[in-house]
Amino acid sequence: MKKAVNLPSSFRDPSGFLFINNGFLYRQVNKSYRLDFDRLIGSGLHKRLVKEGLLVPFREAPAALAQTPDCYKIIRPEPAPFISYPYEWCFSQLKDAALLTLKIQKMALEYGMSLKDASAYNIQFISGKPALIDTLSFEIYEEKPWVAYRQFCQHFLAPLALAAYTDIRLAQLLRVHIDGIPLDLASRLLPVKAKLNPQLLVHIYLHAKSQQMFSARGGQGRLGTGRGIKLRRGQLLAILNGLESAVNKLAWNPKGTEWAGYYDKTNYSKKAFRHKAEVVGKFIKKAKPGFVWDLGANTGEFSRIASPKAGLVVSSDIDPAAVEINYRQVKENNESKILPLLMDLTNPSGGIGWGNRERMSLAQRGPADTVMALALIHHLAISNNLPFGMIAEFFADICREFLVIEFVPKDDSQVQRLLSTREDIFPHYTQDDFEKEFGRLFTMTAKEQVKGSKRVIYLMKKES
Amino acid sequence: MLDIVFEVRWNVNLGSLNVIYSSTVALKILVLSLTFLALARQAHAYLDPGTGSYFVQILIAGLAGGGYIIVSSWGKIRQFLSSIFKKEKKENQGDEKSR
Repeated sequence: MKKAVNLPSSFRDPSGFLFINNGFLYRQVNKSYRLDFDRLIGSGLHKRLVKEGLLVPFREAPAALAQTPDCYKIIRPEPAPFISYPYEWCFSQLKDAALLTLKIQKMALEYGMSLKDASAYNIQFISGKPALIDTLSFEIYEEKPWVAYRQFCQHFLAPLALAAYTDIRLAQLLRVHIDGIPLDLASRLLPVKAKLNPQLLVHIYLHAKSQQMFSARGGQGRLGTGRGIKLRRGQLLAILNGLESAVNKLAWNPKGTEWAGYYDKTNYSKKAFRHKAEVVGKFIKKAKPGFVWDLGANTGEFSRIASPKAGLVVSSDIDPAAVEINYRQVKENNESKILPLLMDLTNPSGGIGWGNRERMSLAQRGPADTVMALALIHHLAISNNLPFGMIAEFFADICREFLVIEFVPKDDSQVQRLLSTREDIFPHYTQDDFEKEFGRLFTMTAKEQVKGSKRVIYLMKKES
Repeated sequence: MLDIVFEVRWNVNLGSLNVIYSSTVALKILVLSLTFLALARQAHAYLDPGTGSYFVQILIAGLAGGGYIIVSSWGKIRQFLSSIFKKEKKENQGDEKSR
């Protein structure tokens, strides 16, 4: 038995687990999962899912890599280039992940199989599209209720309904509730008009009531174990179609938020904007990054300048509307190298779940080869009172080599807007102080003022 | 009462009388269980609420199935109703004649 590191995210499933050996990601399939695994492959379901890009492919790996005696097979799944979590997705990303899950479940039924998990964490965005990453999510179908129905409602339907009916920010409840939003909580937070939606009435309100009733009954009676209860295939399909139509009808449109019209409000002239794009393009070309994090990316204008020269650009912003617009562009233009994500940099995703290790923090998923921080520094330094030194430290933590950063001086109209509502307690917010503090951790490789503005863009190399 | 739901066997091929009987039973059960659910109190979820999630699926299937049975056997139901009606009419006519 070889020693390897098990991934702390895959302990729940008795069918197998993920581990890393020599830098490669493997999945052990346990003997207890043998029949299901063989059916997945033998029925042709696996081939079809992979062919349609709905499931990540895998290669068989040497059995010598077995981690425990009950190993049936070792497979090497194609790893997702960047792991993101449902609380970092915009509305349409969560919706697409939900629809993918239902599509896979319906396809699985055609092949005599069924999803035994409907976890949003099993979906990742790869090359711009959602895909299932857990090969062991399937089981041989028996005529019984869908075992993952509760998980589907908690991971997908409840947050989508809350975002659509109540407030987009409620999707963030997924950060607190790692197994999805409890349905009784969702029921209380949804407005009365959500009850008029028959699908939500059944799948959220009634579902929550039913859960409460049975937990009060203490699992007595025939229903207690849930064994022996039949649900015919046609009936299950009707439920899946109902869920699909419910998800399809839920909508959220970006409007009236902070950034939706940002580019119209800034003091950039067209000429300055063009020049800024030119400088950023030039600096990215010099940095030759594989993996870029564009922080405060807004709708991803500059991510799109970086992406042709990069392997992948994680394009994050604090504003759900900006991320939504960004993702819609990714879909519309079939962009494979941009991953829009929702991220509040002043409180980025932390390590959550068991031992704080089940879901990784932002920093754990780094470092990026190149970090981009354009028109961001004033938000961190002035809105969030962060000293330049602390900002420099954070960037040095998450960046392996280069930092492309824009300094926005105090007399810039955007900074003036931030200062208009607060006392100016920032005597150190100067270009000299900025250069001095960042100079402790980075070397200034290039620097260029944006024509027609007082803003300056730097290419900095992290000191080793 | 709730366990009865699972005793009911939906079968469109049953005789028309049975279809009506099971539809009425189902309707009563549905109304009763919906009331029951509406009255369910908040409880501390010590148990995995999986059972409740199973139950709701059966309930939806019942709702959809009930609708399906009524729609698909509407012809039979009409036939059955009209046969009763005709019988009654005939019997009534007979009565009148004998007077």
